[in-house]
Amino acid sequence: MRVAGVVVLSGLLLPGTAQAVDVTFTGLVVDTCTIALTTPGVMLLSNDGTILGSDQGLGVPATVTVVSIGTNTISLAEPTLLTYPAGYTPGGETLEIAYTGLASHPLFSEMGLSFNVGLLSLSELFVDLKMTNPDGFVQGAYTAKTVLTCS
Amino acid sequence: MQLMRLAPLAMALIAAVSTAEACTVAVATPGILALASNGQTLSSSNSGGVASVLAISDLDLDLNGRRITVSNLRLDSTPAGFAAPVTYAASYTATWLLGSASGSLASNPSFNVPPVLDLVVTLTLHNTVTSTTGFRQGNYSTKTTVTCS
Repeated sequence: MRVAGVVVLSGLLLPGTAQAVDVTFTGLVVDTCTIALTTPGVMLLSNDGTILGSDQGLGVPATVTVVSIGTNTISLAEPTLLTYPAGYTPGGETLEIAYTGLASHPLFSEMGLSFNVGLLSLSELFVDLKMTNPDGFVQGAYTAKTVLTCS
Repeated sequence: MQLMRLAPLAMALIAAVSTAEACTVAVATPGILALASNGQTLSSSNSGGVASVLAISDLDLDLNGRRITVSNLRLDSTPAGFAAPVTYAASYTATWLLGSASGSLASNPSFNVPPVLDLVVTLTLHNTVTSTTGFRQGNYSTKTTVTCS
């Protein structure tokens, strides 16, 4: 009995073997980008009557909010004239866009523009649009647009 | 004579104890990382994330408790070109018969489970990776080492 008691006691004090395991976590990140127009732009006529633009006098640039995760590109399409008064003959005007805010391209351009964004919390982009016609504009309402995409 | 009969029994007890099953760590639920709405943390604690659940068991009913340690959280795979600096965090909760523990990698990364009560320990583990410049598109994985000793 004495022998058995010693054996059992020594066995109880034997430490167990350690084990280590790597625990894996996996995740997938997908680029996302959302844009929203919060304030439409307002164009006003220049003093000389040849420019109708959001950068003139009390004109208002359009405000767009952007949220981006991952790597995305914001593109502004070439501006186009949408509506004009019955007495106006389109074709003589030049449309241009510029933007400031979360990115900046203050020089007006007739071409489409684009820039890259990475991680971006809610941010604002201010878009200016102007039409220039050396022959001037007839009385009435005009609308012009540029299409923004984020992809 | 009596001693002669006990000798084989003694040898059998030594063999049985020394080959008793060691502490085992098994992953019951793999973890899933989800991106936070601000894009800065990839974590199993975020909405859509899933904690990893582990079953830790020590079947040798000895007088030794077990020490369980969470360590070495690291990014195991990232999309090509991802090189943003990141910080890591892990937290856990553990439960066993008549007891529980909780902590994090930064504080209390280890805890002890008393003998016998360490038959079954359930460990729930969270991983978080933070990048203030965000995460680019692609697959990510982290690894964390859980040790039972």
